[in-house]
Amino acid sequence: MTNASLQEGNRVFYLSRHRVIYFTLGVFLLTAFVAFWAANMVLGRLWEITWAEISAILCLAVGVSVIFYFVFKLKEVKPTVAVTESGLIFKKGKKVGNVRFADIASVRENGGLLGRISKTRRIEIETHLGTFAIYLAASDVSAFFEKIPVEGRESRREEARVILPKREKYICFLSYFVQLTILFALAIAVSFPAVAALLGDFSESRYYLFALLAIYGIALLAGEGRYLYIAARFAKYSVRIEKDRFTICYGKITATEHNLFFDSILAFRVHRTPIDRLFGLYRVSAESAQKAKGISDNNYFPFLLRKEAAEAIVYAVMPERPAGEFIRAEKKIAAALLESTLWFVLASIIMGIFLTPWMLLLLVLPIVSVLPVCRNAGYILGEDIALFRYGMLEENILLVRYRDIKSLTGTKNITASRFGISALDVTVGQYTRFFSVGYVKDADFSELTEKLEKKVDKDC
Amino acid sequence: MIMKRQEGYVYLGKEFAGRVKKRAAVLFACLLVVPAVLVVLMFIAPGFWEVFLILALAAIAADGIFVLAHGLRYASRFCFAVMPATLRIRRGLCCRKLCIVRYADVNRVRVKRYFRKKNVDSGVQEYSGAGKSALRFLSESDAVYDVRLYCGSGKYDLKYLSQASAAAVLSYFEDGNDERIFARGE
Repeated sequence: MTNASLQEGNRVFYLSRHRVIYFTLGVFLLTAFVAFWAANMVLGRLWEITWAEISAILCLAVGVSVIFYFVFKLKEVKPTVAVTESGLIFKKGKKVGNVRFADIASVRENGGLLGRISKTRRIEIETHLGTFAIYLAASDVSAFFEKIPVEGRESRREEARVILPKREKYICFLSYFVQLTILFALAIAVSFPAVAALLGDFSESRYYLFALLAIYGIALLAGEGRYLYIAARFAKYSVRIEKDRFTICYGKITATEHNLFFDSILAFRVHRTPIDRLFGLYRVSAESAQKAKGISDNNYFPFLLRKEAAEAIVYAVMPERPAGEFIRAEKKIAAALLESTLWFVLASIIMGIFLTPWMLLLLVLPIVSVLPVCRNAGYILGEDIALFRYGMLEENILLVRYRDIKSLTGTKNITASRFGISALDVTVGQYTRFFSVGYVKDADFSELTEKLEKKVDKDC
Repeated sequence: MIMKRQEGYVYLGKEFAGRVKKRAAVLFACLLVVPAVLVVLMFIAPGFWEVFLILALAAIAADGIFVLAHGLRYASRFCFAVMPATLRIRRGLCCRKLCIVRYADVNRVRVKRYFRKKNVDSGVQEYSGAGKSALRFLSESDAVYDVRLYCGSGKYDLKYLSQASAAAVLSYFEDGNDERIFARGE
């Protein structure tokens, strides 16, 4: 039964009746359990209980549960949540809590199997201080969400674009398999000859090969298993692009709906492997200020998307696309990167001299790793948004607004100093990691630091 | 080679730079025990002398780079500047690193104060927060501050700040600047 009433212009919702049902069920089970063991101990026998005794235990459990139900209903202090103009007011007995709408990062609905049976819904409210959940009757949920103020709510539904990943999302399995196989093939090619030379016997060194293959097998199973889990968890996945948020729905048994507000998105990272590039697919990760329980930044958009879908997501939040060509400095970057691998090169040469010349094969690794990094490197500094392209195995594109950048770190080794470039690390928020976006020219680094000097008038 | 000092940046005071260098040298000498043990093992187990030699060389290199060189470089290179919206910190061992941190990125600030106080009855000089030998050059009216900034991008330590420098840094943090930290102790 719905128990929502109007009170002084605000809408009050009574937090759900589910608690008494769950507690009563718990009392019933506990009573039956205790009665069962008490009966066995009194009667002095185990597992030879008669039907009469079982009926007596069940009657006792039912009786206790009914008494508990009525006592609980009489004594229960019904918690309420009132939706006012400025926020939510939670009341339980003498305890009152206030949450401003400005502090709410996301509100999402979760309807589990038990919730569907008891006709209740779990609403998770995430704020800057943490996340808490309330339970509302299913009939009150839409009224509750309508009371959460959003601009342009009336036209929201008409403008919404829905993105539904289709079969392209399964390319991730192939992509991971190819990447892992190439990595392991490289590892075996550079290390196996040295191991064989050190051990002096091929029959001994084949155990090293078996060990590597075992690691490969485990990594493959783990990786593909993870993608299987994602595919199962995010069944019936869809993204609706509203005027001010993404509404992300997924789940077959437990239907979940997340609201990812545009305001909380600090940066986008669009990445793809060479196999993804072959099929014209992208993966989008949003770095957000909200840390939702049960879903991480990488899983707001967990599947591979076609180019137009990825663009729709990114440009819904950051419509100001930085114009121009990528600024690149491949030769300078290659030299600076090779200097950073100097310690590895020296170690390989020392081991090649003292242990076996086959160790010199390790010198292939710095060369093989530097080339794709230089190929992927580049950046564009727009009016309000910076775009960085970087990565070795994957091509990553980071889009970030200057006002969301919290810190920059520029590092110069000897070669970088000589060529006037700096390795740049960017941080966008408290809970996000830093991004190593590659090398930028010193003049552009100075330009970025000047942009950080602009005061940001924003509630944090 | 004398390193060129950056304009507008605050460096470590001369006495504190000397203290950092001395500590680095002492720690480096102590850690030479590790390669010494490895050299001894070279003679005890001559069958693996190459392995012990490589490890000893690696230990000396690591000790020299991460302890001695780091301490010496830190003393002469570490500096910071307080800008209107950001804090700029220069540091680095084998490379030069410039960190630009927005004040909004600072989640927490920890301030430690070291000062000298005189026990009136016994006339004994005491130093609060540090060993006696460390800050003996402080006068009775001096205090030094260590400010640690906990940011989303990591921790930043600003050490051995004078009261004026510490006040300049802390003034940019709303509600975090408690003037009592600058009051003299009991």
